[in-house]
Amino acid sequence: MQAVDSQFFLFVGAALFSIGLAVVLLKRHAIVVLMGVELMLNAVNVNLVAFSQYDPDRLQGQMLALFVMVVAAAESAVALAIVLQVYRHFRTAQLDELNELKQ
Amino acid sequence: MLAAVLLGLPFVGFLVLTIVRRRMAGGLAVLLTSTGLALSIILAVNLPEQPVALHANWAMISGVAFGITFRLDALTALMLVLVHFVALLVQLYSISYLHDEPKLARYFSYLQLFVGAMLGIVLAGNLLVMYAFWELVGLASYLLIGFYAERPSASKAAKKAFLMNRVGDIGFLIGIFLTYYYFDTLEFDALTTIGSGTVAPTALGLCLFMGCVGKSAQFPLLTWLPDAMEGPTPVSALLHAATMVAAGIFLLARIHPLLAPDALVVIALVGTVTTIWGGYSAVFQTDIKKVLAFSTVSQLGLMVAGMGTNNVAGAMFHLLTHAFFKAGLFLSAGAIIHAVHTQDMRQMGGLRKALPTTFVGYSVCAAALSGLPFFSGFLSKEAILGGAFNWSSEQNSNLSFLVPVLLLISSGLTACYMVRQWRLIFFGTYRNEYVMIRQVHEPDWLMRGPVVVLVLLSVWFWFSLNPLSAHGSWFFRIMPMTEESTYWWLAPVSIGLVLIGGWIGFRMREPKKTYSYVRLSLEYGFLDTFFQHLFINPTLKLATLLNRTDQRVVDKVVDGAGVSTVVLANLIMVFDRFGIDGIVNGAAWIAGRLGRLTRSIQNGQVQSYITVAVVGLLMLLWWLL
Repeated sequence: MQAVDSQFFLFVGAALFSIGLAVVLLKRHAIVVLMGVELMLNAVNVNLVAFSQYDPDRLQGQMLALFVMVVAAAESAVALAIVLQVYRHFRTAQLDELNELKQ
Repeated sequence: MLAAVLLGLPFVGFLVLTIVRRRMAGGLAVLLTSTGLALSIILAVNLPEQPVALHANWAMISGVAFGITFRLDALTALMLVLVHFVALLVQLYSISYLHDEPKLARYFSYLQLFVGAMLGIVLAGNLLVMYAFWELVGLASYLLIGFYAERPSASKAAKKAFLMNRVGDIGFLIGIFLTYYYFDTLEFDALTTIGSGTVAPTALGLCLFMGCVGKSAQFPLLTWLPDAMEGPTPVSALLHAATMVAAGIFLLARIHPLLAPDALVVIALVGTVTTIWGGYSAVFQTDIKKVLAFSTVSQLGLMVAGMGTNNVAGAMFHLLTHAFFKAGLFLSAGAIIHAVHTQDMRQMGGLRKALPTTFVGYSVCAAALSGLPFFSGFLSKEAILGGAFNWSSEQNSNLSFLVPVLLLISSGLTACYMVRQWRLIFFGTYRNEYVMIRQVHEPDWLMRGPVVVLVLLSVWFWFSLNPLSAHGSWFFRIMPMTEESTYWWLAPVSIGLVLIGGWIGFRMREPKKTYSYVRLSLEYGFLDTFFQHLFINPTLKLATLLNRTDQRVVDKVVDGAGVSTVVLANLIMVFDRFGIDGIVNGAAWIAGRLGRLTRSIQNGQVQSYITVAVVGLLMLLWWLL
């Protein structure tokens, strides 16, 4: 099997990251923003995995990607709990309606 | 002590009389003056041999002491009695003469001030004190001449008297300065002894004499005296007899040792000119009081000429006799005015039957003034004329005979105008259309009494037992004459001149007022016109010019300064508003905009924060890479 050129992984990762960033910046619902964050994390994972081909013995990149997934799962659990609490408190999860930082 | 009381009484009277009710004023004034008269008689009787000086320090100016000194000697005692006596009679007379006057209390209070000021002059022991009271006399005369202040002519006359006196007073003041400059003292005691040793400068004597020229109405400052007739008639009597005009003569008597020979010549000449000038001015006057006023001018000229011819005793003697008969004449004139309600002699005539007492009184006083023998005026006039002839025979110049000859002529002139006046008032037909002859009646005894007393005092035997000569009179025992005159022909000649003058006065027709010689008399030698053109008009023009300069230049400058300040202020305001305020407002505006800008960034939107963070990160990366 012929190895895929590493630059295409980077393109995909960058694209995923950009899409995630766009989702984070543009979407109004907190849960969708969390999804964007997941996308960005996974874009990083793609990069990590892609670069791990240069380290075939120890596969540090793949290991780190696994850690990222675990942490991301934990993080999204915490984040979802926070969103739930936010929704309970403000009766909304729309980010543009939450401007508490202004006060 | 007594002197202080004497001086204090009238001034107390002046203050008290301003507050008492008008009915009490006259009595109180008479009481005060008669007390003063009694005191001054006591003083005169117990007069010490040597002059007494009472001294008190008044001011120390850089180590030089100026004192208040009062001096008591024969001259003082004589004047004290005279002033008090005439003032007493005048006040008695005024009670009746002015009984309808609403300002009566003030009138008597002014009279007291006048008398007090004159007493101050008489008692003064140095020139400084004398000058102070001298000015007070001026003030009191101003108040009394302008007593009928509602009449414009009266206030004008008062102003004129005051201002003309000022002219003389300036000379007097300069004379005082000169005296101090030359002799380092103003005390009469010291000055009389100094004067005999050294000859004082002529200018000093002339400057001091200027005070007399103003106060005693000498040529050329004589025009205020006829105008001063605007005052109440008793005031004229007082002013002409005992106070005011006598002050100038008294001053000359006091400072006589200080007068240099040249100054004496000038004084004699001024006196002579004045006596002729006043005498001629009296001849054609139609106002009863103006004739008397000019006769006073003339007699004062005679006294001054007496002073100038080294005849102090003669001049003072004439002052004494003149005081009585002139006061008598004025009080009689007051009675006549009281009876016929006019001062114009053309509206009198034939009053000898209606006013018999006044007629007799007037005749006696007029005879004394004219210098008929058996009357007091004759004695004193002879004394002055004799002294004048003595003086001129001692002078080197032949022209000096002009002085006594002119004085002699003026005595003829005196007879002429007095007889003319006498004829116009008492003889002929009654010419007043407004007051019936039946209504003309003598005044009450309060007014007639003083006249009678003065008439009695105008007769010779009070002064000298010999009716034709004042030799051996009591007066010359207390004030010795320098030398007795020995001209046997003097008395007949002067009597002859008096008779001729009287005859002319009695026979003369009243000429038309348009003749130039009549106008010369009526306008008193055009002196007033002369002053008007020479001094008053230029002064007024100067004043107008200065006024205009003030308005056009000074005011304009001030205005300009004001306007330019306002313009400058406006400019500064504009600068303030647009410059300073602009900076401040601009800073505020910029801060506001910046604040709004930063606030718009910090809108509390998490996503926008992230956007900024990302953009910032990207910019950072772009810059780093």
